[in-house]
Amino acid sequence: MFCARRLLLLRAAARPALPVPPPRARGYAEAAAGPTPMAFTFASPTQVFYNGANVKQVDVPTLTGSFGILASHVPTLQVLKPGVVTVYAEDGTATKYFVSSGSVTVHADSTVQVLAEEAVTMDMLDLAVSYPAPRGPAASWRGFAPCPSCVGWASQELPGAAESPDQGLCPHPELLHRPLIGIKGSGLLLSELSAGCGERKPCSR
Amino acid sequence: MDLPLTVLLCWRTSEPLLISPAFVFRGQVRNMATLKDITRRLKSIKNIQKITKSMKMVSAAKYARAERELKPARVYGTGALALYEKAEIKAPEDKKKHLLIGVSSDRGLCGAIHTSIAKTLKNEITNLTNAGKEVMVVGVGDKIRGLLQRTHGNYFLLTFKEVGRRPPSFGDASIIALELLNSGYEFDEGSVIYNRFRSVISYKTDEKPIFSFETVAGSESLSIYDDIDADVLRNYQEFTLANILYYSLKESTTSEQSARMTAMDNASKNASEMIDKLTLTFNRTRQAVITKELIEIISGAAALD
Repeated sequence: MFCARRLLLLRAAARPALPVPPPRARGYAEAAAGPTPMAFTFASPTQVFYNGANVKQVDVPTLTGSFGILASHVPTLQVLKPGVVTVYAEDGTATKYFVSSGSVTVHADSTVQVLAEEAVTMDMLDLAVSYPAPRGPAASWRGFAPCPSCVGWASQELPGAAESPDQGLCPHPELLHRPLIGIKGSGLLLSELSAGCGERKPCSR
Repeated sequence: MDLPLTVLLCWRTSEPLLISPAFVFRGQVRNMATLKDITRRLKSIKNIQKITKSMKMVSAAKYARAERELKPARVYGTGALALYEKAEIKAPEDKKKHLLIGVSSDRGLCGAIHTSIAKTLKNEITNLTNAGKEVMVVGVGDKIRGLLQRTHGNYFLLTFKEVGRRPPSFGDASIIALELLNSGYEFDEGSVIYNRFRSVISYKTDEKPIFSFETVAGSESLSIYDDIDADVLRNYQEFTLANILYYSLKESTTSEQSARMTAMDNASKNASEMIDKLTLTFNRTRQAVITKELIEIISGAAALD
C-alpha cells in the first residue's frame, strides 16, 4: 500500500532528467602500484631461516590444503600440517624444509610469518632412523613402523605393502602410525604428528 | 641507642641520677673484638666471596647460552605477536574476565627480578579490581607464588614450579599453555608480564597481551583475513599462546641470568671490600695485643727493679 502510493507520487512528479556528465578528456588509467615485496619470516623456536626476507613464493601445507603464497596474497591465517615448505627465492632457487606443525599468517601489507614448531632442512632428516630397515622389496618396506606396545611390526594399509615374515602378531593393529621421521643430531623421532601439539617419543637408539 | 636531647635536658633539671648501665651510649663503648673473632669473620667472608664468585661464573655461562638462544626466539616471538599488532585486536570494554601471567623463576639471588614482576602484578590486580574486572593470576616460578601468596593468595589460578633450573624449551611453554586452556577459567583477555632483556646490565618489566578465542573471533579487524573457520582459528590461537609464553620465558631467563651475574659480582666486590677492612682491623688488633704483652712484661720487669 505504502509502495503503491509512492509510485503514484513519482509518476505524478516530473521525472528529473539524469544529469549529463561533462565531457572529459580521454586518458589512460594509471598503472597499478607495483606489488609490495613480500617480507617473509620463517622460524622455529630454536632457529630462524628467513627474517623479513624478500622471496618470490612460498608453498605451505596447511590443514585446509597446500597453497602457494606470492606477494600481495589475500590475508589469511592457517595452521600447518606436517609436510614440506618450499621457498622460492628471488632468483628462482627452491629450498625445501620439513615442518611438523605450526601456523601461517599473511597480512594485508604482504608480510608473511610461517612459524613452525619443528622445522629442518631436508638434509637433516635421518633416513637410517626414519624407516625400519628394508626387509623386502622397496615398495613393501615403507609400510612398516614399530608398534610401541610390542616388539612386532604393525603393517600399514599402503598399496603394495607386502606381508613380511617378521610381521609378528601385533595385538594393536589399531595403532597404525605413519613412518617415523628421525632428525639427525637431535635424537628426535616424530611420530603421530598432528597440528598443534605433536607427540614425540624419545629416540631409544 | 641515642637518647633524645629532650630527655637529657630534663635530667639536668631533676636531681642528679645515678646513671645506670642501661643509659650508656652503646655506640661509643664496645669490647675490643678478640683476634679469634676477627679470624672467624674473615674466614667466613672469604668463603662467601668464593661462593659468589663461582655463582657469577656459572651465571655468566648460562647467560651466554640464554642470550644465544634468545636471538631466534625473539624473531619467533615477534612473528607470533604480529597478528595482534597488525590487526589491532582489542577486547571490548565490557569484558570482565582478565588473566595475568607473571613469568619469573624459582631461584633467588638475582637482584630485583622477582620483586619487579610481583610489583607489576600487584598494581595490575589493584587497577583491574578497581575497574570492576575479575582477575586471576598465573605464576610461572615459585618466587611469584611466594611473594604474592600472603596478600593476593585468592587470585591464584595456577603456579608452575621447576622453572629456571634448565633453559626453557618450547615443550615447557606448551605445557603451560595446555594447563591454562584446561584450567576452565574462560578469560576474555590477559597479559603476560615478564622481564624483557635489554642489555647485560639492564632489563625492563614488560607486558604483552593475549586474547581468548572468542575475543579474536569477534574482532572486526579479523574480517580482512580470508578463509578462516573456527577450528583453524582455535588451533591458531592455542599455538600463538604457546609462542608468546615461549618468548616471554626466553626473555625472562636471559634477564634473570644477567641480573644474577651482576648481583653476584657486586656481592663479590663487597666481600673483598669487607675482607680488606677486616684484614686491616686484624693487623691493628694483632699489633695491639703484642704491644699489650710487651707493656705487661716491661712493667713487670720494671716493678722487680
